[in-house]
Amino acid sequence: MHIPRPRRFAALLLAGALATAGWSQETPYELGPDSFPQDGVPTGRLIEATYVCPESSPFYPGTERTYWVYIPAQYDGSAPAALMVFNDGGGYARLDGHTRVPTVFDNLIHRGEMPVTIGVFLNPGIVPPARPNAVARRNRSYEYDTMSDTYARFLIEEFLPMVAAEYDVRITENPDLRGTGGLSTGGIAAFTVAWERPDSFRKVISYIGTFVDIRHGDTYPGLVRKTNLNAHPNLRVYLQDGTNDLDNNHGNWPLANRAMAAAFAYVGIDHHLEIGDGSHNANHGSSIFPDAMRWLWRDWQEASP
Amino acid sequence: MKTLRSLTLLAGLIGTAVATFAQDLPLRQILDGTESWELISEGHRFTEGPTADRHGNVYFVDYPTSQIFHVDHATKEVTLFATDSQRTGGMMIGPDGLLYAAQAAAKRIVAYDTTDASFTVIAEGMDVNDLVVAGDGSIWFTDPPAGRIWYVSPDRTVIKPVAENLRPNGIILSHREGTIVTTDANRTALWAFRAELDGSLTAGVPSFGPVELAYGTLLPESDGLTVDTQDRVYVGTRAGIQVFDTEDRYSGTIKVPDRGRRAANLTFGGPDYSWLYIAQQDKVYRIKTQTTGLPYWARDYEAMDRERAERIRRFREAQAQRQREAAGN
Repeated sequence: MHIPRPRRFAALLLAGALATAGWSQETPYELGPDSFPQDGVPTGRLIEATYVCPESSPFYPGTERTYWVYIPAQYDGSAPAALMVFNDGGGYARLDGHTRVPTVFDNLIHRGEMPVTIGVFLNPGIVPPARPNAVARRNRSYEYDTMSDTYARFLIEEFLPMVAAEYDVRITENPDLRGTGGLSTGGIAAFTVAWERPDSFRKVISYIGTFVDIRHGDTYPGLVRKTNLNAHPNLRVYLQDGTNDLDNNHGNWPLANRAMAAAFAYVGIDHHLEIGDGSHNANHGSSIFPDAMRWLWRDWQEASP
Repeated sequence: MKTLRSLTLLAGLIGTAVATFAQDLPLRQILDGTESWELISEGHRFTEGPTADRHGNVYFVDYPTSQIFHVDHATKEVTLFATDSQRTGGMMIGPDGLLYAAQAAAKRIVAYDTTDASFTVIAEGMDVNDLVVAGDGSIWFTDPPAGRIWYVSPDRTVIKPVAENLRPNGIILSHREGTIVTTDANRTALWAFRAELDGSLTAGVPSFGPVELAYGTLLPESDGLTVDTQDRVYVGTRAGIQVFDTEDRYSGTIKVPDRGRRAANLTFGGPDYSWLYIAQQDKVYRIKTQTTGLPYWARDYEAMDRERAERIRRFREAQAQRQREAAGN
């Protein structure tokens, strides 16, 4: 049973995609049954809140962001839960959003296809203006495109401890049970978190990832090829892109994602590249998200929480 | 204030479509390949501080000789405006029409009357390098030896340091005068701070970057800054004039006429502020661009809001049309 998915997120995404790619050639990717509530499957809790980075934060002082926390029905606090963090979290967390992660998690956790997993979904920070007429400074590119450990450290040292304390959840310290995900610039950010902090995150899912030259993300294939493999134990990366994705002043997205996959293949990093014919939107990525989760978490029972 | 910020946060989140609408700003939107540099003045020792007045005519300074010059944009005639400017570096015309100048040798900020080159002292007793004057008359200026940024209130009664432990040189306002952007001599990035109503600077991060390096150099030598009406940020560096978009991302580098020689400072001038004037060592050049760099005091933010809303409306209409067409296929 395939049910047509809403095109809301597509409608939000980039003008550049429309200018450079043929809208009408795209396959109409649809969400499958795993992305809809199923009878007899318990529903987890989804909480929405706002986080303001204190001025004393060494990472993103003064930024404000909305975030969501998903706590599965099966979580009872008896053991630490696995973790997945999603960048541009709103689109992933909302039950009518592009990917409906909480619903997918409900279904997959219920069937044992992934562990009991806390979902953390953060939007990027903005700095609201103080002066009249001024506009907010959007911190998204600085947080997501920067090739450093800053965003990973923000998550590990500031944000996730806040979440654990605020919602009284135990999150596993086992990096094999901690993953990150995102799309576009949020996709490269998801990879950067695992690349910089293999001690903390080892599973990555990226849709239409921005592995291009915004902040030198185009250099990742070379870096991957020239880094000793044992620096990234058990790294597992799922990449999705489409042949009609962006080609602009920062680079060419389909080429960039193929270059990443080729580099992973060269050094022997566990990866999967799913190429469709979509443009710069979440349609394809969200339609295959349950399969991607099954692939990422396929041997989760071998890891101890 | 809290409510205002919350509302802005909400608007910022809902406005993802708006945010992505003007996202990628390639250099060809600034220079389309048909323009060429035009020599405006030469024979100087080290030019600095270009700024445009209400007619789009440009002032610049020859730092070592302390001479301030005036360029008539239409005739390209260059005349001496002031001598003995005490090694003025940064300059900017304020909303009051006065020419604000950072006089390094005299350790003061002054404001020149452009009709007779007389001046009044605005702040003194600190090292000064570059400055920015907001549309409401607020001034921020850099003090590189002390690593400070200073603020002067529009009524000139408050003069206070608002940031420390930096290596600032150039300074400008972006995000419609909401964000102070400053260079850092030790970094391959520019700092962004929220400009508060009392002039203090908060939420500081080195978000504009990476600033590119010329081959074989360790630091970009970022110097003067300017912004265009869309609030792209332009910075003079060893590698050329580097441009950053409204998401603080590097758009590209505009190569300058005398390659390898840094353009220390720059401004938009001409009657519609569409000409980029650069101070490059012993010379001043200009080039016609496809954008404009309206001074803050010449901006009509309400009109800009209306125009932006109209552009977004047209974009969404075209997008809906494409979707209808796709659905019909």
